[in-house]
Amino acid sequence: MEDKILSEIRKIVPENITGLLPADELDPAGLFLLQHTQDTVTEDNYTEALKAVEGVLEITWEELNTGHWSKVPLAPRQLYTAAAIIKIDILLRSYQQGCGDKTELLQSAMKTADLGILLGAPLSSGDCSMTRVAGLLSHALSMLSSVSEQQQAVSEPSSNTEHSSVMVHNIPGIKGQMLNTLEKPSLEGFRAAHFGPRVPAKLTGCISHWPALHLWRDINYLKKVAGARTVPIELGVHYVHPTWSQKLMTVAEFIEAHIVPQTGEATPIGYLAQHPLFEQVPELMSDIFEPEYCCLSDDLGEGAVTEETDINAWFGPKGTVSPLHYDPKHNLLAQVVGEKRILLYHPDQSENLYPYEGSFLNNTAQVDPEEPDYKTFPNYKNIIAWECHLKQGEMLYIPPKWWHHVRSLSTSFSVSFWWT
Amino acid sequence: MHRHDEVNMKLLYCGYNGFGQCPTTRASTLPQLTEFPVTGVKEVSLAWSCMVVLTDSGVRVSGFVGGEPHQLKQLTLPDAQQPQQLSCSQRHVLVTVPSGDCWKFCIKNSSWRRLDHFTRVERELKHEDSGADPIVRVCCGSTFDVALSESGRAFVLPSPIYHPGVRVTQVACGNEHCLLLTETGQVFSWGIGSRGQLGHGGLENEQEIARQVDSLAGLHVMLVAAGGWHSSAVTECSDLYTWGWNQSGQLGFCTGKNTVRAKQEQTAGPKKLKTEYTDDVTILSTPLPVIWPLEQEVNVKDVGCGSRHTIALLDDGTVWGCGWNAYGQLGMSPERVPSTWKITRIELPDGNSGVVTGIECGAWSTVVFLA
Repeated sequence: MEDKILSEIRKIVPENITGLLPADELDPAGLFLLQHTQDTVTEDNYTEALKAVEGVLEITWEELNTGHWSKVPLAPRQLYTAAAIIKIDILLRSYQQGCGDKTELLQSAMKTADLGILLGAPLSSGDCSMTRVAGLLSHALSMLSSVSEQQQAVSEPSSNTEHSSVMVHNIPGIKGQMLNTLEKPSLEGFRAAHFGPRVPAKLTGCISHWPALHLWRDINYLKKVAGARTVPIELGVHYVHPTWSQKLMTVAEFIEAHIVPQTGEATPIGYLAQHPLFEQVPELMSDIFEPEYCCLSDDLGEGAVTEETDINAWFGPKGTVSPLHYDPKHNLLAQVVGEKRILLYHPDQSENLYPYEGSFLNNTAQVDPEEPDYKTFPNYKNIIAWECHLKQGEMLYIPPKWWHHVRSLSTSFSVSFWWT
Repeated sequence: MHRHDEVNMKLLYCGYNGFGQCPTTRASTLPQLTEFPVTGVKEVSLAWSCMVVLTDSGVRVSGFVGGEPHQLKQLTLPDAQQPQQLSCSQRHVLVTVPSGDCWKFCIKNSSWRRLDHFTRVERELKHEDSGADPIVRVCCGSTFDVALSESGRAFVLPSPIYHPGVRVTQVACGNEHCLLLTETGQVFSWGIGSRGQLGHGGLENEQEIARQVDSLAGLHVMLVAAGGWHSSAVTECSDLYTWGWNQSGQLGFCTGKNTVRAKQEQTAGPKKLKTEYTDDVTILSTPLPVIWPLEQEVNVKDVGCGSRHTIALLDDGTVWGCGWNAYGQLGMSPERVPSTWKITRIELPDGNSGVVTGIECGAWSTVVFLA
């Protein structure tokens, strides 16, 4: 029963929530409002209490949007988490008292938890982890909706549950030299020929044991495991296009709006790009494995600190584009569903790719390899790209600083591993 | 931002009231312009959790003060000095006095402190001994405060902002940027530009010197206002320009979220709604004039910006707003209109005869002056 799970969440809500926050570093008005709300919430004032705690979330959201995200101090992020916990607690109390629509209340709690994961930071003590709360909520929600899902199954055609297959026609842009392919290279062989000298390569046979390869082909599986989870979706052609924007939506909403509709329909392209989905939904992490190659390190000195590998999800329809750019870390891009075309350029070519000036986009090229403007960027003319068509089950090694342009040729789900 | 010398001016308040900053009611949301119980108002400044009012009889601060909500306190300046002009953030109130000094009232512990450091440092640096350069205006932002001296120099307290030797006559402060208006009607911006709020056509910061907003250079600007991450300017021709973040429609430009509703309204409503701009706007990094849903010519008299909303007063006395309305800061029910990118008329409550002479925005609130 979902009631049991919800009681479990309510049990781990700390009693004096603001006591877990660094009061000296936070605005007293927001802290007061949060504690006052927790202290005075009763059956009669859920609506008023929700409004109050949402005020704390909103003002903290404004603080988190002030200054560069990487420089936002921990304290307001912890306040965001604390306020999210209190909001979830109030929603679950309403749920248990039967005040309001059950599914709506749980969905609202789920969204609050996901925003807490995306924007917040763990509290300094206590065992109320937002990832745990979110996992429990997701579980409760799936129990609640499993009944109605069965009823829906009849009216829903099952033909749409598999992603559309790959059909490649008229891929825009220049052609490059095809990249070398290696079948399951040994760790030492990969280090000597690729990792060490920074040479890109396509690797095959390395992820054939991943359960994700067959599981993620099924849209219903993704909906079941992560459908209710809120994620940031990039809308628009690509991130340097003027109409580009980001929007938060659930994975299910994203699938309905951007994956299921066939291209050609007037829907803008949506892309779940560079998102640490596997931290947010640990269940999906058990469908994949970090490749052994990620344990290779440049720094072999003693006491070298190895950072954790950044694992990101890239899920979108045919036609998503990552404009020509480079990243500072080693990158293994694993293709789980569908096909992508990647164009690669050696770091030596930076000047001829005309990077944007300024601090924001200096890792992004002004040249568009799909529609090169040779008049404005004449030096681009003589450059040769390496081209790679990455199919399901294949993996691409992109060394640090190598320029890459990525286009999905079909519905595509990739996982990237960034490491140093 | 505006001096009001008319007597018996009324103050109407709408928006967020979570700390009882408008003492008329205990309701945490005021979606209708509601009379604020005070007379003889000269100036108002609004922050997220509190507000200050300057009247004939002194300074009053209301809302979250000294660790408690629902406060309404009279502030007395040290040595009974007369307050000239004021501004507040949720942390403190800055007040200028006739001697040219600036005083800071800490809202947490109710203490006064004189800010006399910055102008002196500036003079010493320049080896000037030409006497005092009194502080004539102050403007509090959420991360820094800006002051203006009589000779037209601007300070991000306590340091001067460098800009090419033009006299500044007005300052406006957003969450992390500020606007300077010069005596020749030119606009300069300084600070963080991550949402296009500086208006230079990019997202770069300008923290060395204030940089002129080139696209407004050919216009004579009369008035500037800065919101959370957006900016606005009113020109000599009474046109309203906006730029920066349009996340809730605060620029008056189409946002993706509301497109469907706007289309529906368009068929029924006035014909000339959007004629030039068809794309959704997330960020506008260059100022553009706002398009009004009116057939006749529109003359903007005053403008104010909140965190995520914009309010404009027209010369016919009507008040308009766009952006975020979660707390009724646009004077409408948030259940009916959570936010609107379409600039919408705000109705005054029944029984309020009088002329609207000015407006002022707080983070999530709006004040209208009625003479």
